[in-house]
Amino acid sequence: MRSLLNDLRQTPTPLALTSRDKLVRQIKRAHVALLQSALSVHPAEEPNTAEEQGLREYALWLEDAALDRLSELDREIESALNLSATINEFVGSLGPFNNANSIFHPPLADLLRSAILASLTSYKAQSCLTGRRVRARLDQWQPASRLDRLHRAVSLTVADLLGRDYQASFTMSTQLRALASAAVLELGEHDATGLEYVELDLAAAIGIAAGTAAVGMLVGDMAVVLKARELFSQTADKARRDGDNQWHWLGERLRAVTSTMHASSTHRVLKEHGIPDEFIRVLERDGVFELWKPQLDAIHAGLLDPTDPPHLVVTLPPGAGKTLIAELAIVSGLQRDPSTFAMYIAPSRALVNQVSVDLRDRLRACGIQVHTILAGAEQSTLLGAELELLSQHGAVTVTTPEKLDAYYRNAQSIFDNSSVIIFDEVHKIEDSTRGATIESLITRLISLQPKIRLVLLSGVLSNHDELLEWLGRERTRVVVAQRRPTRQVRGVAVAHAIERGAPRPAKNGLLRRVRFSGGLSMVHENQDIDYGVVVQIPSIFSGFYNERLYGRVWRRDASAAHSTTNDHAVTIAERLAISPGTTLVFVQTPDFAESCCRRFRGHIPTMHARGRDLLSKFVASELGRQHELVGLCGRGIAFHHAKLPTSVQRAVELGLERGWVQVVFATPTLREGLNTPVTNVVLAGYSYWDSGKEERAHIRETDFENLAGRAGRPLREPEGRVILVPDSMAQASVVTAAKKYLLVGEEALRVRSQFSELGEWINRSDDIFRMPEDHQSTLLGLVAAGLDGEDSLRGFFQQTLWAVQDSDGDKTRDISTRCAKVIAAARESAGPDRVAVASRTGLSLTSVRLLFERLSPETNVFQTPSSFDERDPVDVVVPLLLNASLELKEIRKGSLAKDGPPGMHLLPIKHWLRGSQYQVILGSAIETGALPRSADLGDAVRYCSDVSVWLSWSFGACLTVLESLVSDIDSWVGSSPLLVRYGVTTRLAAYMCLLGVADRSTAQTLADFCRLSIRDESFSEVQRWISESETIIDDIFPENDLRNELFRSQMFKQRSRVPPYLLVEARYFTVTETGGVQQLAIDQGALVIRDRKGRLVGEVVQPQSVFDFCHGSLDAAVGVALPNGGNGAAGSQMAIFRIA
Amino acid sequence: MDKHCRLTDERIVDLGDYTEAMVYTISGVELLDHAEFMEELALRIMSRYESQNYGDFLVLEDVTVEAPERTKQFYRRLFTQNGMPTADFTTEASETLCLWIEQALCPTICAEGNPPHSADPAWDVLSIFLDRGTPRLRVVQVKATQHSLQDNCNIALTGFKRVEDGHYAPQLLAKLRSMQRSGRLPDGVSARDLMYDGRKAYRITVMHNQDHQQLRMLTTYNQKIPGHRDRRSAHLVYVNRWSDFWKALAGAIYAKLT
Repeated sequence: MRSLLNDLRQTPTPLALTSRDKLVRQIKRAHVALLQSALSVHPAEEPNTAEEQGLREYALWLEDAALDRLSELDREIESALNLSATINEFVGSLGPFNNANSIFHPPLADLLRSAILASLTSYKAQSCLTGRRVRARLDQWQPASRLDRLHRAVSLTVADLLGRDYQASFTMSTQLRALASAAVLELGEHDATGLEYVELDLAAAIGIAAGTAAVGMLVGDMAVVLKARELFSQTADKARRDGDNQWHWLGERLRAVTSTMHASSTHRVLKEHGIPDEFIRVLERDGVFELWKPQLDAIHAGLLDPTDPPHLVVTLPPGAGKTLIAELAIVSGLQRDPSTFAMYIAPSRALVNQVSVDLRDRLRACGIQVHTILAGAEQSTLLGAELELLSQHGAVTVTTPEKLDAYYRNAQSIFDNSSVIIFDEVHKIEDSTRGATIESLITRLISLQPKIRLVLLSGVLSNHDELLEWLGRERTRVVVAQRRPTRQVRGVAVAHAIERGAPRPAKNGLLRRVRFSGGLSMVHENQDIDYGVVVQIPSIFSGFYNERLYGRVWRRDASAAHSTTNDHAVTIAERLAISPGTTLVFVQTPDFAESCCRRFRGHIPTMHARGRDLLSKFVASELGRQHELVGLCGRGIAFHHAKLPTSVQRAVELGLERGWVQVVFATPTLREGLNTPVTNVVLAGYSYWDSGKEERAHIRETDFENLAGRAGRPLREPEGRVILVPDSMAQASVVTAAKKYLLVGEEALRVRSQFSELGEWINRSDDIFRMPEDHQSTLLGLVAAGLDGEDSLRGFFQQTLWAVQDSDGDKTRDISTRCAKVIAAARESAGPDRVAVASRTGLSLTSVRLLFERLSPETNVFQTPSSFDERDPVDVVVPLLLNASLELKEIRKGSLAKDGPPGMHLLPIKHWLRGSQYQVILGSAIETGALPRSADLGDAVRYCSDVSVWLSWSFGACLTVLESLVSDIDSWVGSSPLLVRYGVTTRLAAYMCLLGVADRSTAQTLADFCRLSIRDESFSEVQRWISESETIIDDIFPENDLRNELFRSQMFKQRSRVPPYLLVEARYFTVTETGGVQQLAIDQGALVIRDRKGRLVGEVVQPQSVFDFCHGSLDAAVGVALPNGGNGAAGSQMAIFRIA
Repeated sequence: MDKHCRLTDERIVDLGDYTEAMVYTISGVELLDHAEFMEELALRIMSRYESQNYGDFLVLEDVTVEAPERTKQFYRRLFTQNGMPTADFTTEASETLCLWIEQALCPTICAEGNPPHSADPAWDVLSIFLDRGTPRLRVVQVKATQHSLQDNCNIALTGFKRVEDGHYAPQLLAKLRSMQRSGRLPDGVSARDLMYDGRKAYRITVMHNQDHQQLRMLTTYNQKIPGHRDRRSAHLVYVNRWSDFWKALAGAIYAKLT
């Protein structure tokens, strides 16, 4: 740090910094100095506090320069403010506190300045953190003098305002006048000077202004907020006149902060756009009083447009507020036309679950039902019920793209009545397996349902302009933000200090061991990278490899012993675990995840004992007491991969979110399911085994961005860290990796259409049966949507992203013509009915034709009255369905791809369907040969996962085929796709899973309880029961069972439901002071309002609500006058608060 | 001031690596014996003392601060019951004298003192001077001590160190900005640039009654304020008949009070 600071000091002073470029460059350099110190992981290396001086002065200069240009807040200015906030926070954290309790002296002054500056930027989350740190420090101060007590109270009021704890700020401010009076008496006792009274007055005024701002934000009354701003202004002016520089400074800064609070107030902005009060109150309950910049940008772009809202393409980093944008789109869409419905499409089951919980928690307050359909492409007899649920007026359904595709294929017309459809993680268009489906869906929606409004959300795409063109430039707006709510630092592991050992004889020549120290090369967000700044942090890990003598040249021998990427990643994780926060280490395979976890020797603080105990017990109940994860969870570390049951995966995710487990080693599959931010993300290597292509591949930049995006927990830490450990420590490899992933360019994040491959296949042949199954399915999806003629197909293809990206108009015309021919030929060869059936299943025509052939002779087995009255339907139906399914190319994937007779899968699948433990399934699979003898529990879990995903799809397709052949399909057959999907025994349990219960044993238990209290076993009844089950969870699962916690977290959020205040109608007899604190008292049976001098100023119109709110005790209640009171007219409002 | 006094040429003090100058009278007689000087200093002290704040408060109720007037009651902090100067008097007078020296004897382009009873922590006067054409800030502290020169200088140095470390940066910037806004800084001089400037200068002005040549004072000046020697200076005002000087000055003021 010292050398960098010296370097910094030698650069031109701001006196010479005339150009903005130079200024920004300097900002970055100063930031680098901070980073290096902040990221230093040498416990022995104490920061040199003497060096703070340069940083403080620099920060002040930046702060002042940026504030001068506050009105033109742009990236550079924001960057300057943010840097200054960072520097202040940094220096404020460095030094010892030395009993300094004044907010005008370090370290509190530094922290306060940091919070103020962060409040003026997009990093409001940082302000919350820093403000709370100031409070934590002040909480430890118990001053003896009355004057100091006042100063402490003022400081707390200000710190809480900046920490966005408005209620605490206001509560503290209500004591200020009394404290000021006591302090005046104390001053009088020692014949204080006028200046001392002036200072006391200024302090109290700042505190009262802060309390007023807090209460204004809390109740959403902007007149009160503006009043606070005026108070700050008055105080700053008076302090300037009185020559009191510190209060002058603070008053001016807080006035600026109040202005930004007013500009971004959730209450003000949303009310102006007609969002219902109920929703605003829910946001208030969750502490969302301010909208972040991207959310304001979205609103300015027309998110809440009441008449003709545009499509929106929203690219925001994780945690930057996408969910609220989606919620607002839903609320405004359903408010605009209550007879419509909305949909939210998330790409994975885990995300569907998480999004559902979030939406349900907030939207039900404004009467919006949130339905979850947690499934893939499978169809069942439930389709009708699902569609009914989906199209319910004023409701939103959260599901996967595959399910939406299935609905669209079967009931396109209902989407005419959809107000808004939100596609989350829309960059999945790039995905080779699902991308075409998503693109096709969006294109079908924009071309066939022109009234529908789409919101496309992503964290990582860069080609907004192409998406704009795709959705229609005139009707689409783009919202982009690059900044995360918390800063993010990225680094790549590098080797240095290489030491070569002495040569030693080995087989086929000489070898020598090369040892190296490993460090990190860190950069800070893309804006900084433009300026090429890098911080080197040496000696974090060590490693070795061997060199072999070839002739006269020593070359690295990759086949000889060497330390691995995983070794380095484990050591880095151990170093990171020293500091607070959670760490997620991505490794390439489940085996690596487990072995890294075993090798981890880092120190994990012994806290969260109850949580870890719950987690361990739960894992033991799921995997057996002997499973190594049980002990690891007890230590606060875990692994997470696809070979763990879903229930355990969710439990580990919950543990990570709650901080019970501090370090998790996971495979990249977690990226699909994890919405939980962590402090540190470490990626051990960037190559992985692509099972689809059966080759080793490098992870894509978008995937890296997605993984890296998890680093940084808003409101909990100021910074997140992403560290890439390259596959090789060779310099060239490190540089390549850093350039590719850390310095990822926009081109790499460009989302490309997957339709080009379909086009190539269509050009090759007119015969649909020669095309790959997934392309057949895409084509059949168009048929299902009625796009089968040349003109309609041309219209469709011209509206695809593909057409935008490949501007050759002739090509789309040719493809349309050929597509029409292919479809016509398919109808002729397979028959129009079969093409129609196939188009609804999502399978290829090849597969559907095969299903027809296999099932037609057996239809009687599946009809009612069923032929298996006396027998278990599993024994009768499943073999037939299984035999047919395993002939389909789309289905023979993963564990089902293994060669062998279909019968070998029968026994393990029966166990799966009967809800047996994974241990039992493993035994049976080994016995029948479905799994090798060496298979372990993880292999059984993965096997079940394959059965669940692929067989549910094929069983659903079988059902569709059977329905086209015969009527009266047996109900068990109708439910079989769901039963095999979730591995449960009853339809009720399957419904539970479908509605979001992630764990099959929990679903089974809930189904048993549910059965006792519902009218019938319909889907809607189960849905109703779940939504009302919050009150009886404790009766079903004891509190010390993690299932209780998991179910709550999956279905309900555990937020405080206590309203912070009560709004009542008041009748004021005189004009009252806006934002003034008032007392309540009973006078001749009426609830009267007195001002702070005890004068009667009005009365509460409906006193009973106040008594109820205050639990009968008025002593602990105060009121705040909201504007427009006076003259005895009713209709004024007053906010009542309980003051602890 | 410049009619009566001058500063000696600056001399370099090796221990602490700073420059030192002394205030002397042109006539060679003691300050106390310059009636005109004493009268003007008394008036300056009174003018400064009477500039203190009074009037309305924003929040405090039922508190009144007395308005400045030339009464013994209002000046009670500066005088004992029998008209003798208090410690506050010495402080007020020395700060006034220091400001006067900065304005009259030093090549400053602007100098400003703190209000009476000010809470500003580590400076009594801020002066702006030109250093080869570049405006720079000088932070000045004044001490008045008969016998404790070393101790007082160390206290001042500790304060300077805090200023140098940026501990009072917001207050200092606010002060400079306030001067800039009200036009008290010369045109073209930016408060922000003065504040950030890595070559801010510091000065200790001491009124004393000791043979300072025999003392090792300000020995850690260059440790507390690193960098070029131009940044560190001291002004010494030797007051020969210490008690008589303060009594005479106090008497000149007390005589004007009712």
